[in-house]
Amino acid sequence: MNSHPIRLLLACLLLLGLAPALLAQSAPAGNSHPQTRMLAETGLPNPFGEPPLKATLDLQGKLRFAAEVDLRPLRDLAVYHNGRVKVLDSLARETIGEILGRKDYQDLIPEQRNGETLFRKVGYDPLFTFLDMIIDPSYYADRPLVGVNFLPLRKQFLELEFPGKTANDEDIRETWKRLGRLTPLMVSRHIRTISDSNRLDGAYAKGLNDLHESVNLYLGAPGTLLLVPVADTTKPWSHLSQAGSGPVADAVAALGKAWRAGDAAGVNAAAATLAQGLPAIQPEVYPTVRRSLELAYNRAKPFEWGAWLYAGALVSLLLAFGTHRAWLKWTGLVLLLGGVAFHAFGFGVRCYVAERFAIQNQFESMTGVSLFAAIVGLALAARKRQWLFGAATAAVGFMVLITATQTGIPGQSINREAAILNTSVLLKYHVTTVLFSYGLISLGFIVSLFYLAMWYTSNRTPDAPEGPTALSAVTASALSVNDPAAARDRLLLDLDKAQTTLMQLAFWTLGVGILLGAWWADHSWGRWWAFDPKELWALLTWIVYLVVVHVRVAGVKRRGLVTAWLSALGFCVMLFCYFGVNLLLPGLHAYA
Amino acid sequence: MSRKWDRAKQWDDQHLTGGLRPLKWVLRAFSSITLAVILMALLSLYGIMASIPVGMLAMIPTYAVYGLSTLLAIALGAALPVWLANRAMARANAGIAFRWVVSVAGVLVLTVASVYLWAQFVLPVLNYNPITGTGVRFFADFIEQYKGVPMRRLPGMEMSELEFYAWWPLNTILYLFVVNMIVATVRRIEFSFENIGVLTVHTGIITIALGSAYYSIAKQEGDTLLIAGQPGSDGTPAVGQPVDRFYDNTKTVLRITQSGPNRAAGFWEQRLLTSLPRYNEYNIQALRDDVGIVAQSDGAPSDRGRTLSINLPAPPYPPGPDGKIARLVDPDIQFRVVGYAPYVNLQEAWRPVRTPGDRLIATADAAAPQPVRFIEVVERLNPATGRIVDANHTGPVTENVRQSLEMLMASPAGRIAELFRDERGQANLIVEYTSNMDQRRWNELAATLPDGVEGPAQHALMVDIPADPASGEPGLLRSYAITAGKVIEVGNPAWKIEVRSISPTPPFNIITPGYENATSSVAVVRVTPPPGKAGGKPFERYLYHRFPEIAQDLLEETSDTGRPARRAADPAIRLSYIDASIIQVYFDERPAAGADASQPPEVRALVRIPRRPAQITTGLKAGDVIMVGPPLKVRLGERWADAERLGVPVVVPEIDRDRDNTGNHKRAALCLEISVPAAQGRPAWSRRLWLPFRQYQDIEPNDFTAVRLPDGRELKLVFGRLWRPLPDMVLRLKDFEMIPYPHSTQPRDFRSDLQVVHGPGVSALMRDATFRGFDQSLALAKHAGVVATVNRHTSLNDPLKQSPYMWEADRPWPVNAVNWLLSQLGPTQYKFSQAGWDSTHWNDTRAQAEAGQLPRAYARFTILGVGNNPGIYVIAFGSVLMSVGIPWAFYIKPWLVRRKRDRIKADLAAIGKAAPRPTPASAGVPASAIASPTTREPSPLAGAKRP
Repeated sequence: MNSHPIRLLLACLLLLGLAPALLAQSAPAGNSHPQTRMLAETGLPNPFGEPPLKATLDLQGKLRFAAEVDLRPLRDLAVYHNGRVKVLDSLARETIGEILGRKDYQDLIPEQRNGETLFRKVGYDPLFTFLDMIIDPSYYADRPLVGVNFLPLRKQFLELEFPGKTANDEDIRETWKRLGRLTPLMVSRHIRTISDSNRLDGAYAKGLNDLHESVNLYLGAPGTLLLVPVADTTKPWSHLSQAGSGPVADAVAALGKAWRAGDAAGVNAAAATLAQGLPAIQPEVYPTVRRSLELAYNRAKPFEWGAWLYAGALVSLLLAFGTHRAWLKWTGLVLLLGGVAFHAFGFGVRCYVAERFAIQNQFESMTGVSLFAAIVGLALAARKRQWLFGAATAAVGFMVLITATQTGIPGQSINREAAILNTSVLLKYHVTTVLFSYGLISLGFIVSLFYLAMWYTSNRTPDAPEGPTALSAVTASALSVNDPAAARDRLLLDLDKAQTTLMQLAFWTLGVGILLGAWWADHSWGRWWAFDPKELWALLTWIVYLVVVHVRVAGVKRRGLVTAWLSALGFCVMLFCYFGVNLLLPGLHAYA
Repeated sequence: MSRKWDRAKQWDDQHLTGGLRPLKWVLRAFSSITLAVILMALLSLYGIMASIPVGMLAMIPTYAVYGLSTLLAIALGAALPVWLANRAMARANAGIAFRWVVSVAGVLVLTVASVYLWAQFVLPVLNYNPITGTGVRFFADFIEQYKGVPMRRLPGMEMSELEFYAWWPLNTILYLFVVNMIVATVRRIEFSFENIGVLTVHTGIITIALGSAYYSIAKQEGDTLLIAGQPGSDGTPAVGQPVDRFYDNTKTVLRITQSGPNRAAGFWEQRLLTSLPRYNEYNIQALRDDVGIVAQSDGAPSDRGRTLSINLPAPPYPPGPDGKIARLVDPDIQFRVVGYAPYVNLQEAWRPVRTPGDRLIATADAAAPQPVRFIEVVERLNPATGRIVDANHTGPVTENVRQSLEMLMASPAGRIAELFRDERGQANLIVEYTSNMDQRRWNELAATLPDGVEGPAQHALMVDIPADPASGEPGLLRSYAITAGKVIEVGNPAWKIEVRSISPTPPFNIITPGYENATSSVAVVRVTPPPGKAGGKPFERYLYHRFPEIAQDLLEETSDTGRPARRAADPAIRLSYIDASIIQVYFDERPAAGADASQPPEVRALVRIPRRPAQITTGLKAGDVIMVGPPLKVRLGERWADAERLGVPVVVPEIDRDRDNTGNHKRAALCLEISVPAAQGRPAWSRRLWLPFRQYQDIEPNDFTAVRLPDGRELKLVFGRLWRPLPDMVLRLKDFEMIPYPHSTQPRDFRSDLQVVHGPGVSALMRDATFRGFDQSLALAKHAGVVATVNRHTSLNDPLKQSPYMWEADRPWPVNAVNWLLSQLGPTQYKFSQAGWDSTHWNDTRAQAEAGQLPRAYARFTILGVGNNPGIYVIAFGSVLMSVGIPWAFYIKPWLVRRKRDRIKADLAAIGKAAPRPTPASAGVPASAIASPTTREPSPLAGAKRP
């Protein structure tokens, strides 16, 4: 009996002494996203005829013309682009987004007010700008078309373009700087000088590279018009200039001619003919439902609306908590359900349009994570009938969706996935399970924030000289308890239970997700664990929750508070695993 | 605290006393959860140090300042006003709901406003601009230098990610953690039904750890390249070459073979390059003594004086059947690595060869000397502006050597230097250095050209029709200014010459032997000879400005290949094209008249500036200068009668590096010192050379560097990856297919069809195949039953698994099953994953197939990832235990405990006793909450009416 522990220890040390050095591995082929080809290298002519060297319409004329043309018939035409068939509206949005770094093109209309020239911003429909850029490119040569996000680079261009030192020059530079865009002519005049002087700086090099791509996209946009369907799947779709002779070719020519003449009626008639003619070329392969759904997805902006509905739900439910107004609670619940519905609609349509489970890039995984969290949070709130959990759900939904839609998270366009992601069901389970756990971690974090807020902003003692804080009093009122301290403790208990439940589930699903990934990696890469940064940081996230489990078992004092802080830490580690690793640390999970 | 833990502590107190007291402490320490948490924290810190660059870690203080400034803005802008408002409302006895609304709205609105104001006014001040250095960034220089460098990449460490994770500090933490877990599990957790979950989880983790240990010991990883056979008439390639080895992913070697009468070709000795760096430069000027200081690119990292010395002793050889050791490399030849560069371009540099034995690099024509002349192009600058001076400049001038040229007069490609290229890639200055230029050619270059459209011609054609003694027609020599499309009629009877095109580069690469890689401006003319001359039919002649000697006639007739028939330029008419459209400097050397061979040759120079007459300078010697207009001059440098070309590393700046090629030697080179000690009157000898890394060998016939020692011994050297054998297995590529997405050329999948030859006779088969040919040997081996072949395939996510165990039908299935299981646990089962493909050739041939020129696309090779998987099922078993244990511990155990408690309650109620109430400490929550009878009720918030 005496020797058992020693023998056990020795046996363990002996076994562990066998642990050797690990060997390395390299990333396999198909391990990265397919090259995004915004610009098809067709070398084909402009289907609307060679554009004139001079812009066909002036500022006012363009504005009027844009208001008169009706592009609805063209909006849902199918076009083959970047590896999939999409609607023309999507192509236009993606192209304009890539060039401008924003959702639409804006012209600056000069207006005289009180003897001063002021500029009014007027936005255009992306499809109009896209077509106009192809048919009348000269108009945009000296317009603020090319978005430059990197401020020092933008400043450098403007200093070269407007080298003057007067206050007026400063104003001009400042105006352009705030605009965030440059003209293609500015870019072509100074890009070489700036490239030569800043080539060795990574941020500048990236900025210049993006700039090159934007200008190429502006110049090469006509090449993207692969609108003519082809039945043979081994052949690419044909370019609009290859439509041959017939009504489609005639309509294309007529559209170009009318557009350059500023003839909106002519454009509308040609667009209608084109919209009838193109689907009729190969009706058996021309998509139908998918086009409508994609267009609905573009129009509905479900994730943006979802975010704002979540925001409304968050505010309503928080106010309901304190004011005890039933209408606020019901408003919050309706808004929350609306947010989840929009969110789910967007996710579902995206899956249908992309023909895959849409969790395979940063944007998609964020929408997926938040949807999982929202569904779990909603279930939790409904089961416990504690609508503060509804507020937590809304907070997660709002936080994630607003980040995904408003901060330039990559992957908003629906594209093909990495080849290696395409051929394994196991991988889908791995990704889904891990993302599900991330959703739970996010929800648990918000619940923990509520816990921390409750802990630190309500009085420890109900007999404090200035009386209970608003939060304590609100809690007591909300729980129909007279003693604020008891109410506070009851709410803390509820919140602790909720955060523990969420963290336990997150701990399990993350663990299983990591192991599923290891299984897939062994199957596909030949090594189950490679200490890739993503793997490592997922493991670190899991370790944080492992610590939570053990800390609670160990009977630490104030374990609810400790759990809440560890939950916040776990969320930060998860965030780094989710975003930081992708941005900062290269590895095998290039697509994640 | 469990009762078992109490018992364990009591046992310790009773038994581990006196001298055993330290053991008690150790046991207590390893039983503690605190130690587990500390070890997990250490593990996390280690992971952070491994994965995050030290430059980024150094940014933590900077971002802390950013974060604190944001928090301060929120505290001052939102928290403080809300708190003050709350106090004021409390004093004014405002309603709770009102206070809540004000608080929530205040926090939300003021937080957003504070952050916005912070972003508008504070962030621009704090934000750091790397170019101007404005903003706040602590340790900015350090961060800039190490922003992409994790700790493991620092000089002195130089570890790959997995090497760092296999380092002893982490191993120690992991060992301690597992021991801690085992001890704590045994001493603290009751082995009860309810605790199956946690016991299973702990057992699972321990099983994973032990499985990993075995896995790591026996793991092998790498890749192999399978070359396809030649495609047949239907476009399908024949079965490719057999491959019985693969390249290790991490271990690098110097592969050496020495040619000699008693050494079989194709056998290489591998010397393992242990402790070779991966990320940093070491002694990159290692060839300074031979070739002078090597130029470095702007922004490229330097070696900072770091040196390297890795001796490469010969590996142990087993004695042969006769007891003798047959070495592949003589033991007196020693190798040492003295330099390393992780990411370089190997640039040519020249070193003088003083005696024939002084040449290191073995070449086919080692006897032919390679004379070199050095020339410097010097730009003249205005010191006030720093710009190149123009013709009107009168003040002082500073000079700057813009470029140093090594002119190889014996090589058509090496004797020409094109400089100052414009945006279109066109050179603005061309320097040519020849030896013994034909005087007639010199005269043509020096001739005053006829006037063109705008002054003297920029392109001219020299027409020389020799006299015809047979017909008595006199010869003639004329020059014409030409442009594309110009038609010239010359002679009587007249030759008609139409200038088809003039281009600055050849329309096709020059393939004339000896002129490979050379370039020249070209005029293509169509010549219609008079009847009876030059075959009497029109032909096209390609006239190379720099190489009149390789002019060819393309006839109207076609050859057997369907292409136009060619012939050497017909001597009935000699045409020379003179390109005078850009600035050109011609040097020509010839032996000094009447002097002996040791005297330096005489050099003459000819400068030709467009639209100006040629300037000739003679009698030049080393150090002399000729002017090329006001802004430039060219200085004649040293001349070496013989030289050899060595590769020297030019380090690539970080910004231009491909991350995928970092740390894996793909773009690396090492400097190898080869030495032979003095012996038997022979002096000691030592030389250095840079060897580029070769990811794969055997793709090209000359995938090695050949060197010749002064005593004539020849070595072939390769810096590459370790070859590992595939046990009892040979792979051959049958076919490869890239499967694209519909309507696209984007790959959706890749598939390699393979022939696998396996069995105990594979080694003998490969030996036999070197004499007999593989297919014939294979047929014999199959007939003998020592090998078998199967056709398999591998594609993405569907690797080929090949175990050495062969199911034998004549054995009982349990025996087969057990053997199969053992083979799966053993380290000799391999997995082949699709890892790379020949995209270039596939895409080229696809385009040709689409154009109808080929039946189908094909790839010349495929690359398969190779790895064994020892003990993976042990790890998988541990994973399953862990995955099922967690829900038991979290969900089933509480349910079991609850059920048990309820039963006890019911039993107690039946006998009329109250159940004991839980203590606050046991629940870990405030007593007031537990005491509340409504704790387990749904929150009343949901359904409550407003009071």
